[in-house]
Parts: sequence; structure tokens; C-alpha cells
Amino acid sequence: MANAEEPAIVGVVRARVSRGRFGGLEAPLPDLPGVTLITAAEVPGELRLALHEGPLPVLSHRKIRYRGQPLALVVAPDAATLELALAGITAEQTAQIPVEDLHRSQQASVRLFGHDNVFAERRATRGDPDAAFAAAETLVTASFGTAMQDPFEPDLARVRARRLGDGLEVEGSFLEPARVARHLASLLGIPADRVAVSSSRPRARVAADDSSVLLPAAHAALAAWVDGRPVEFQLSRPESLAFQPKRPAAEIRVTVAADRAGALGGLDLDARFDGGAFPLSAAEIVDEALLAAQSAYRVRDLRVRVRVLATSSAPNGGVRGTASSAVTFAVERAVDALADRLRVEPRELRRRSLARGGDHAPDGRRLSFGEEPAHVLARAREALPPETPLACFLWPTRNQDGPRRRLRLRLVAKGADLEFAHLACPEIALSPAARDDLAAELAGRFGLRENRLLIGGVRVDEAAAPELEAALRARVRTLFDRVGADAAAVGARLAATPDGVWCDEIPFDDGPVSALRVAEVGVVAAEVECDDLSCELRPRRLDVFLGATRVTRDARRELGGAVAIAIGATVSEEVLVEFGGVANASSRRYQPPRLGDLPVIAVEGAPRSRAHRDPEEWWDWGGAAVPAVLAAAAEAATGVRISDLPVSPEMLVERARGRTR
Amino acid sequence: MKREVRLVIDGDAGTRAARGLDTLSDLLARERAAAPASDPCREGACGDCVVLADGVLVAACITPVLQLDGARISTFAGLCRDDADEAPRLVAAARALARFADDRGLFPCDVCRSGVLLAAALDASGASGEGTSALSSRVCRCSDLAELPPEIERLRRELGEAP
Repeated sequence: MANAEEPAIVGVVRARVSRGRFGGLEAPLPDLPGVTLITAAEVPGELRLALHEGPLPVLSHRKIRYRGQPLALVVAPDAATLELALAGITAEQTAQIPVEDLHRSQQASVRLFGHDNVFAERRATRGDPDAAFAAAETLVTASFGTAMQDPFEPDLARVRARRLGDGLEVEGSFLEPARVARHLASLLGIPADRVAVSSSRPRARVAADDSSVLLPAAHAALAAWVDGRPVEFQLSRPESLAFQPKRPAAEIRVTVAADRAGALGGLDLDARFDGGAFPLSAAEIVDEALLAAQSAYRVRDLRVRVRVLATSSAPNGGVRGTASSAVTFAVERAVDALADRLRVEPRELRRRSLARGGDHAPDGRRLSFGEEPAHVLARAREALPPETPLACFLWPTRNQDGPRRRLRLRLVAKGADLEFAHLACPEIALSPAARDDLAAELAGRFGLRENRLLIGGVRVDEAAAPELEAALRARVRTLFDRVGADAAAVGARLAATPDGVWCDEIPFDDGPVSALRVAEVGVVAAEVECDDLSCELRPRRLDVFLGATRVTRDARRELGGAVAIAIGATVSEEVLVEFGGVANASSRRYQPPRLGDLPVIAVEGAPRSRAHRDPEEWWDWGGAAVPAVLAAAAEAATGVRISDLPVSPEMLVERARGRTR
Repeated sequence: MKREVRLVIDGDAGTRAARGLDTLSDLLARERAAAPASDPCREGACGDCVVLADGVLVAACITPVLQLDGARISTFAGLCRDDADEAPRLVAAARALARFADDRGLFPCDVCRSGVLLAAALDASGASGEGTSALSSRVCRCSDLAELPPEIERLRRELGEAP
């Protein structure tokens, strides 16, 4: 029997095949003291977590959709016993033909999802791209690939759970404990108020989403509920690398054509993303990809098709602008190739082709800026030596239709004091004036300093502002009032844990919101060095130019993180999938860039002619053009054409050899 | 089978019992009240569990306790305490950096905080060695932590040359 202070440990029996049937566990269970086995049959409530875009089974009942899919849980008193138990359990599994890559998924000879394996798809057509290509004197068609990348969120690792009679306590790294509690209550078939979820690292994952941590939380909760002992579930780093959602791999084919004025006139883009076995963020990925499909340019004749396809690998998510950076990489590289074909400077082709206010993005939203993109590009051209490669990008809002639109207030406390407040309205428009006003009210009500406030949101289209803001602010005040009403509950939670978090949300489904879509343009420029001996690519400097009157410290930091992730995706990080499993699921074989690997990152806000906008809004998206510009810089430094990421030394050597043969 | 190991953890000297494969983070987790450290990755990769063992940065999650007999262990939290048992320059640097990080709200999430600030304190105090940056080996996915190097440099000047 385990020491009362030491929780039992939860392990997972996982599928060994990439696709197939689970026939149950072979009896008998290894004869080990204190070991409990839990299968899908013992789930008292809903077996599937009802995520935004589709159900995710906590344990497989019958079908196996990816290697490593959880089949059963083992609860043991200590790590050594757990290891013995897991080694002694045999899960009967019948293999079926897996779908290992995007190509096979698109063929749909094996059907994983629907009739065509497409989790989500967006298309857009404008003008007549075929006629534009037929008439064009200069045209480039190219294919690009980006690799699967680990988001590296080690804070997800540990979840503790304890059953208390007919209730449950769960502790882990959660963004929104109340939402997690609702999912766990559904799993256990009990009312949500009997599940108390607290966040052990409440400031962690501020900009993320709890979808990826729900499965470990569900495993801990289920184990504690069925077994009865307090439990701890620790997702190891190899398990995290192998089974947690990734930034998915993409394959993108682009055709671009010049118009008679020597500007970008026609574009055809087909992008496919590997969604893995379950559609975690498929709709988000295709929305992002569609918006980024013309980058920062005016394109008269356009055809775009973006898809997330099902494969027999662990489910992937859309972590930190993955679709935007993959598509921007492809389009910007194609624009560079078109400039080369036209024999004009790439930055001159960009200048001629820039979008202007009143143009439309591929998803139909009207671009609300005026001449700001031209100002941003002009400032970049002025500040940089002529040979410095640069790339443009379009920054999207995340204004989406549907039930996900919500207003969320999250308060984090340390000891008895409130430490941090996060008012998130990622799908809702909010003007700078309204934001400042709410920040002042939030700060005043809770006595928080400015650097302890985080207010997400986007700029309102001025024409619709008054009506929308009135509705939005009314709801914010409702949330503030709820906090006041629940102050005692917050205090009780503080007393129970060293760190506490209060989180609540209300829906925001007013009609005008969906019309309020905006986008801005940014420019990134890069200097790289390629080591003569190792062929390693080393970014030396990145200059980021944004259409912003000022760049706040928070925005600067978030950009730094986005750039760090983008640099990893460009020069080194690649989750290798072989036979449906991750082949490099180890921190020794998969290492993100260290702080010492990062270049100098200079961020400049180019003056705007329109109303001030808080550049907090740039956040993750500043990294969107980084892979494109680093690839351009690498190409200039090495003479090797780069169409796939990451730019590994092996790839550079191989391509250089091919060129000299 | 458990064996006794002599350790000084954040100034608290004593013997601790450890099994063969127990890591330093297992031990620190048991003594969490005294030395808050965690080990999210358990592969020595994320830097969250980094501590000083006899003045050297180690990842506690992959360091067996039995190899540390007689060692002096310092966590970042321990360095910031009034009774910190480390070189005064290192302690001063750690406290100054903790204040700096808190005042600026430097870490969007806290996962890498203790490891990064411990490395930064080593650099600021000169304990990393001339021309060596302990900070450069750390990983952060939220930020490039661009504000830290200037502060380290400022502290290095303020604290004077290493003895």
C-alpha cells in the first residue's frame, strides 16, 4: 500500500499499431500488489471529450486510430511497480492498413474520416485565375513543405487527482479550470460542481488552450475516481513528444503569375495539413491558412484550397500560428521566385504588389487599412541594406463565427493577493479606447498594476463600433460583477492552494461581430550565417516592422517567443514520423533553439496615419514571415534553393551536391 | 533499498534517504516546502528543475541523489531567501534578478523562470566564468528574454569584478 502522502501513479497502456482494432486486454493481470487496471468499460460517463471540433476518446473502446492511442490505464503504488505492470500487460490488437502521410490520405483509398479524409476545408476563388495564368508571360509554379514541430509545452506534464466521496479534486497546469471541470464531470457522469479543478501553474499557457491537456487530466481523474486512491499522472517528455498535439506538417503547391504592370496578378494555392487521427483544431488551421494565402498582396485572380486531412498519427493542433507561417513561407518564396524570373528586385515586386485599403482578403474580409502597408514596407526598405532579404505577412484577427465566441476573464492569485488578470476576447472586436477603459476599470477594481493586466482583443471597424462596444462592455461588466459575487469562493481557493485561479466566461453571439474582421501587414527581414564546416544555418539578426504606433513590452516579448518558435521550425526542429510513430521522441534527439541560438530581434513600429492601435494584437503572428525570410537569406548565403523546412545541414549539403552534378 | 546521503539543501544540512534511481527532483519534490522545484520534462531539457550542486548548474530531474553525497544544493528560491548559504555576489545577483523579473512581469508563463534566473544570476555574478553564458543554454518558448542580457550586464558592473 502506498504511503498516504505519496499518490499512486498512473500509466497508460497504448496502442502498438497505427490503425486497427483493439480486442481487449489479455487476462490475467500481472499479480502485483496495489495495481488497478481501468478500461473504457469502466468509464462511468461520456467516454469522449466533447472538444470544439469533434469528440476525442479518453480510452479506445474498439478502434485504434494512431499508434500510442490510450487503450487502458494502470494505477500502481510506485514507479517500479507501474513499470512491471505495464510490461506484463498484453493488449490484443489487430492491425489494419494505416494512412501514413498526406499523399495517401488524399488518395482516400483507405477512409479514416468521411468519404475523403478531409477534417476541414476552405476554398476561395476571385476573378479568373486560369485565364490570368494563360495570359501571363511570367509564371512560377513550386511546391513547398514544412515539417511537424513540437510546441514544447513541458508544463502540461503533471496532473494530480483525488477522490473525496462523491467529488473529485484535480490539480494541473490549466488555463481555464472551470472548463476542464465540466469536461471531467461529463467523463465521470457527475455534476460539474462536484469536480474542483485548480491550476498549479496558473500563469503558464496564458495564450494557449486547454484542449491539449484535457486527455492527461481525464486520465488522472478517471484513475482517481475508479481506483479511489489519490493519483498522479506524469506525461513523460517522450510521451509528450509522441502523443501531444503538434504544429502539423504541411504540403503546399503555389502558382504565381505577374500581370502586365509587373506586379503579382494571379495566384493558385493548394495547401494540405496533417491533422492526425482526430480533428483538434482543423477549422482554425484552414481559416488561418486561407487568410494567409495571398500574404500581404493585392491579387486580382486567385484560387485557394486549404485542407486538413486525417492520417493515422497522433492528433495535431494549430499551435501558435502554424498554418499562417507555413502558407506565408510558400507564398513569399514563390514571390521571390517570380521576382527572379521577372528580373526585378524582390522588394520592388513586393512594393508593386502590396494590398491597399479596400482590398479583400481571400476569406472575404475587407482589408480596413489605408496606405499603412506601403508605409511599413517603405520604412523597412529605408532602414535595411538593399541586399537584406525581407518578407511580408498579413496578420489576421481571430474573429470567428460559432459557439466558440466568448468573453473570458481569468484572475490569478499568489498567496492572498491577486497577481494577474487576463481578459480574453480573442474572437471579439475591441477598440483601443474601450480596451484602455476596461483596463483602467480592471486595475482599479482589483488593485493590479499595468504590467499585471493582459487584455486580448482586436480593433473594431469604426463604422460598427458604437453598437458593438456597448454590447461588449455590458458583458465585461457582468463578468466583473460575477467576480465580485464570487470573491469568497476565490478566497477559499486561495486558502487551499499556494496559487489560485478564478475563471469565468460568457458567450458573445451578437450578429455584428462576425462582420468586424480586420488585418494588418508586417515585414520581417533577416541576416543569417551558414557555418562553412557544419553547414548549420545561424540567424544573426531579425528586423520586424509592424504597423503600430508603439510596441509595448508585452507585445515585444510575445513576438520574441513567436520568432523563437519560427526559428526552430526553420533551422532545426522536425518531429520525424516513421511507420505511424514518432521516431525522435526524446529531448536528446529533439531540441528547440536555446536562448543563445536566437538572433538579435529588433522590433519597430512604423508610424500609422490612422488611429492608434495597441500592438499587443501582433503577438504570435509576428513570427509568420520568419521561415520565409530566413529561407530567402539562407538561399542568398548558400546558393541552394530552399523549398522545404527545416533547413538542415544535411539538406543543404545534399542540394549543393545535386546542383554541382 | 534506501541509503543515507548527506546533503545541504538551501542551507539545511542533514542526511536524506534515497533509493538507487531517485533523482534530485524526487527528493526536492518531497521537501517541496523547503525547496520548490519541479521537473516537467524529466529529461533535463526544459530547465525548470535546474539547481546548483556545489556551484554547478545541474538538471535535478536526471541527477541521481546517490551521486551527490556531501554536496551543497541551492535552488533559485533558496538563493533569494534571507538565510541563503551561497557566495554573496551570487545571492545579490539572484535577488536583484528576481525583483527585476517581478517588476517587469518578465515571464509570460513561469515554466522556465527558476532555471533561467538561476543561470542569469551565475552570469551576473561572474560565476559562469569569463566569456561563458549559462543563460544561453536555457530554453524559453514564450519570449526571447531580450531584456535579461542588458540587466545581467548592468548587474555585473554593479557587483564589480569577480574575485
